[in-house]
Parts: sequence; C-alpha cells; structure tokens
Amino acid sequence: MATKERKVVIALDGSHHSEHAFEWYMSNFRQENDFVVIVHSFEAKSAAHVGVGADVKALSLMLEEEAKHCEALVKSFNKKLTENGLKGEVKNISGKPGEVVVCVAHDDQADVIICGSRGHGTLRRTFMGSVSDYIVHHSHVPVVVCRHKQHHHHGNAHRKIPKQRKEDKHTKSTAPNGQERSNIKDDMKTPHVSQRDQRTTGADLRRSSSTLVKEDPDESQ
Amino acid sequence: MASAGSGGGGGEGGGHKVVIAMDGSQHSNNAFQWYIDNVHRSDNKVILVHCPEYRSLTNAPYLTCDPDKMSELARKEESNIKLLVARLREDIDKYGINGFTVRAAGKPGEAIIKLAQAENATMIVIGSRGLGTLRRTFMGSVSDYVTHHTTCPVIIVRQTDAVNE
Repeated sequence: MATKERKVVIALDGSHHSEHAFEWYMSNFRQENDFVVIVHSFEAKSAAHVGVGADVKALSLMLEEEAKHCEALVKSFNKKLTENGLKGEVKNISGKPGEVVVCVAHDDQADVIICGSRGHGTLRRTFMGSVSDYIVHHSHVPVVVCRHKQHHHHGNAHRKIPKQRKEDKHTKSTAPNGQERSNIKDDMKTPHVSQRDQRTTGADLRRSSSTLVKEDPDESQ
Repeated sequence: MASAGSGGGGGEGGGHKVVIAMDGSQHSNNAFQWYIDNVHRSDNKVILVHCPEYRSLTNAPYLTCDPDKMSELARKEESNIKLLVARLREDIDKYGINGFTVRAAGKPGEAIIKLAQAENATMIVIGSRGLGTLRRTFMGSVSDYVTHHTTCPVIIVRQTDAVNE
C-alpha cells in the first residue's frame, strides 16, 4: 500500500541537536513517499553588529564568511538528502529562524515540522531553545521536538521494574534532587507496569507521585 | 488494523515506548489518531495515560455548601473517568496495538513526565490543547509543561481546524 506523500519540514542549523532531529526522522518517522524540506535560516548577525563608523571592508569580509559558511551547510544538507535517498529540497532563507521555519511550513503546506530542542544558542538556562519554542507555539501542524536524555540507556526498555519498597519512599523524599534523579533512573522504584491491565496503577502512582523527583530545571534538558 | 509502518528504516527505529496523553478532548483524540496514522510501528508499545483534573469539583461554585451535592459530583466525575479509561482500552483493542492504559493522579503535566521517565518512554505524544477553555494562549498549560520538561522527543499535535482557531 503506497503511503501518501507527506511534506516533512526539518529545521537544521548544523548543530548536533538538529543532527539528532534528522536522525530521529530517519529512524522513526520516515515513510517511502516523504518529501523532505530541510530549512536552514540565518540571521545576518554581522550586519547587526555594525557600529557607527565601522570598517566597511571588515564588515564585507564577515558577510562573505557567513555566506560561505551557509553555502557549506547547504551543501552538506543536500548531501544528506542524496546519501539517504530522500526526496526533497534544501531551503536557505534569511530571517528569524523560528519565523522562517513556520512560514515555510505554512507556505508549503507541510504535514509536520521536526526540530531539535536546541541549536547553536548558548543560553542554557532555559528548558528549550528559542527557535523550537517559537515553532511549537506558532506552528499550525504537528511538531516533533527531538529532545533526548543526557545519558540514554538503550537496554532499559526490557528490564523488569521492581516493586516500590515502603521504606525507600521516605528516604527518597529527603535526598537532594540530583541524587534522587540518578537513583530513580538506575533502580526503577515504581510498580511493575508491564502488565496490560492497569487497574492498580492509579493508586500506586498516586502514592508515588508525592515522592518522585521534582524536576530540576538545570538538568531537565 | 491501521498500519503506518514503512519498510525503510523500520529496523533501527523500532521498539519504542510511546506515552500518549489522553484527556477525552477532541484534541487528544486527534493526537492519538495522528500518531496511529503517521508514527506508529507494530513493535511500538503504547501507553495511554489519563490524568483527571476534576474540573467540575474544583470549579464548582457551590464548593462550601451541600455535601450530598459534592459527593454526587464526585461520583459523576468518577464514572466519566472510568468511561474514558474503558474507551481508551477499546481503542487499543480496535487498532490492535501493543499497549495499556494508565490512570495517573496529580497535576497532569507532572504526572505525564513522571510516567514517561519511570517507563523510560522514548516518545511522548500530546495534543496542543485539551479540555481547557482558555484560548488566549497558543498552547495549553499541560502540553506547555510537558514540552518544556520532557527528556525524550515529544510530538505536539496541533491541527488547524475549527477546533483550534
């Protein structure tokens, strides 16, 4: 059964976060007839730093460098498409990245937008980068924000989860957040949940919800 | 049986644990449907989580008055919730997917994140809005919370139709 053609917009900026987004698409979302639109946007940052009486030569050099960098990126994106046998195109548009991505998705009638949770931005105090934040809030189509844990364990999916022990509940609730978090990861203290019938889980979760870790903002990326 | 799995790339990306947030709203139903149509693969395990907010109890104007009325409201809420969870189970059977339902407690956003972490989910699917009535924001409070606190890829299913605008 042939799948209908879906237009998938993937926002890439060359950072490894956006790499993850692309890889996620390849291994989890891709279907045969997808048309992939890789969107890269750049803000002419060097123009923004123009001071009064700036050296015109230096400025034009900076602009040239940026243009070259963009070209190289676009080339690598095109390579990505051909290497992976994808049908699609690369768009390199200037402007605010979030707005550009949403605009392209809207104009091209995309079916989905895929983006990383962060990009090149250096501000780490927020949960999510400004671009993905913008996209999530302004998109008219489903958005996939590819976040990933710092330490991703592949083998955990099939582990049996031990029942929560009563005495542990009290010790866990007083331990500092960071320590709790790693303990929870290593040693899942939640009810055994691989059964299909979950009539008891509500009560168990209610008990455990008061003792499970509170989110630590700095770590939750 | 709905099938969206493709031949290419299926091997490396399989075996996902997907947490789908369901609150009984049209948005969450759309999110579930979108997931089935676009993302679901047969080796994915799906967890449908419902975290009731007890709106009729917390928003009721007669909170301090008649205890009988309160218990009647509570009973009604409870039966609605049970109906919803039963419907979720039906959906699982209808689409023949490997999964189960969970009824969580507490604040919906936090409950979803805790569940996803406890289950080592590799994906969360959530509608951009739910049962909430405030339309002045772009996104509902629960999906906003989940998007910002998740540690795995999250899919926010927003659709432009009369429901959203």
